[in-house]
Formats: sequence, structure tokens, C-alpha cells
Amino acid sequence: MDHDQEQEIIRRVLGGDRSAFAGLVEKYQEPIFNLAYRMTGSREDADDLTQETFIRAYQNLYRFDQHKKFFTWLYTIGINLIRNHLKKNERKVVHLTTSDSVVEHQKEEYTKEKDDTSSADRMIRLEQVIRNLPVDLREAIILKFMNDLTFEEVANVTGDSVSAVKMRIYRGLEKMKQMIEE
Amino acid sequence: MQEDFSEYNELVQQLKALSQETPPSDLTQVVMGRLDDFQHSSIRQLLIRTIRQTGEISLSGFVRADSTTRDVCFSFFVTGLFFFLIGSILFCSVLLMGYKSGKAVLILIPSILILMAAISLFIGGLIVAVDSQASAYWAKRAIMVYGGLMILNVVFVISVVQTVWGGILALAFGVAVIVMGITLLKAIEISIQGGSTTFRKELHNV
Repeated sequence: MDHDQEQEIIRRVLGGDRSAFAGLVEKYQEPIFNLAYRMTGSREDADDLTQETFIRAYQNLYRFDQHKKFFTWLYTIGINLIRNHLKKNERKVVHLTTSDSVVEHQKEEYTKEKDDTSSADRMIRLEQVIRNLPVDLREAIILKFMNDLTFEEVANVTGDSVSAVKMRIYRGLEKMKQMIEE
Repeated sequence: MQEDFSEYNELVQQLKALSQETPPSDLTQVVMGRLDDFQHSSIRQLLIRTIRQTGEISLSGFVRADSTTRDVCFSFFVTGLFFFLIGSILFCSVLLMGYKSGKAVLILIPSILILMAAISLFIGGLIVAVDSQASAYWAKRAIMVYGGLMILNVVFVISVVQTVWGGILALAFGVAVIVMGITLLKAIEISIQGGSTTFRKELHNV
């Protein structure tokens, strides 16, 4: 789906064709879900947050500036919801600690993919390290390297300057390196 | 700090190699289902859209719109106009009587109720004109508001007049109001059953 098709869908939704919104949900559900999952560590929370992101986007679509990129706007909604969710749950540290059954499941999945147990262990360790990063560093790392956004796009989503984003990413990578080496 | 993060190349490659989680297969369905509920709850967004889109109503669109949509809107506007005239006449009579007169209140209250009912019908008609499918829910609510206000009016008149004939006339008026409301509701139902064309010349997907 290119930019023009996306704009056409948005125009149709604003004109009253609610069903057209499904096209946008199909296109962006995976990156939004992955962002929410990486940030929260929970599939259930990621599912709820992803749904909420699209609902909010639909509710506020009339405010969207169609000269801008839809996915940046959508990511911004998602990130704000995720931040609020994490803030509300910051005392409940447990949800960021991956349970043994989930770790086992992840290990099985990585072993199937890579056919290499040590590589699977490294991947799981990496996932745990990401989850232990402070929220602001975690979101910058995930948006840049897992959602493949440019520095400018990350800056637009998080509301920071490009230089602040680069600094955050640098600090995040440094912290991750230290945690892995421990 | 190197801007290309070359010192962290290996770590960056590992991050990019992390597997993508697959969202639940029914996520789109669930979201679209929740939008259904939302559509019935966001009167504010609907009114904003109605005000924006009213300017797009054109004479050619009016002519081209299918007869059911035209009839529904016409019914709303004519009924609204009828009650607006009644309400205006009553309201003006208060001024003639002298608003300081104690009895003026007995006419002022019904006049205001009738004017509010008329406005709700105008809004309902506009909502149907700009979007006959998605706003059917709120057009029906506009009719209920109109019905509620008119019944309140009838009750007030009966309580004030306290004569047999006054009561009978008020009740007859009330019955007529209810019949008109039911007629408008039925008209909306018929208009949303088919692929109706709005006054903005857009074919609405049913």
C-alpha cells in the first residue's frame, strides 16, 4: 500500500466508510504490536495496547494532518499509550519479568528458527536485557532498530530532537552492552 | 559518540535479527468490532463532521440523492419547521402578554420545550443529509429527544390547564407528536436498508 492509497483510505474513512479503516489496521498491526510487546514484555498487554492505538487513531482521524505520514502519527499514539500503561504499572515489576514458561517457549522458537541452542540463549538474553532498559532508552532502541525508523522519524514519534534521540540510542546501546557483559 | 554506532555493530545486528511477534489473527476483526461500539458513542465527532460536511450539500446532490434519503430529510426539516413556528408564536406571545406577568411562565416553558424539540429535529435532518448510514443511530436519538421534550410539554400543559377539554386537546397533541416520531423512525429504517446516496453525492456502502 503506497502513500496515495493510504490517503485514499483515510479520505474514505473520514467520509463515513468505516470499513475502509480495516486496511490501515491490517497494514500496521504487526509493527504496533511488536512495539507494544517489546516495551511491555506481555502479549496480552500488547494486544490491548494495539487495539487501543487503532481505536484512538480512528477517534481522532479528523485531526490528522494528511500532509504528514500516517504511520508516524500512529506510532505517536501507540507510544503515548504504552508510556501511560507502563507508568500505571511501574510498581508491578513482575509483568516485565518473563516467566519461566515464556522463556522456555521463546527458547523453543529461537532454536527452531536458528537450529542453534547457544544462539537461542543469546537472543533470549538480549530480549531480557531490552526489557530491563529504562523506558526512554528502550523505546528509542526498539523504534530505531526493530521498527526500522529513521532518526527523524523516531524524533517525530517521541517528540524529541534528532540529537536527543541519537544520544538516547547511544546510551541504550552502551547500557545493553554492559548488561550483556555482566 | 559515533553517529553510525559502528562500535555496536554486532549488537545492532542482533537486535535486527530478533524475531517479530505475530499479532493475534483476529485483531483486525476485534478492532473493527470495537469501532462499531464507538460509532454509537461519539456524538461529538459526528456533530463536528456534520457541521463540516453540511457545506458540501449541493442542489445537484439533493436532486441526485435517492428519494428515500430526500424524503427522510424533508420530513425532518418540515416537522422541525412546523414545531419551530409553533414554538416561535408561543414565545412571541409571551412578549405581547408582558413577560412580567406571572402567567407568561405558563406559555414560556412550553414554547422553549417546543423550540428545543424543533432544533433536535433540524440537527437530526442535517445528520441524515450528510451521512445517512453511520448517523442513523444519532438521528434516531434526535427523534427520541424530540419525543421526550414534547411529552414533557404535554404533561406540563395538562398539569396547568386542569380542564377536561384542555386535557383532551393536550393528549391529542401528544398522540400526534408520537405518531410523527414513529413515522420519522420508520423513514430512517427504510433509508438505511438500501444503498442510499447522500446529499454529498457519495454512495454509502451498506
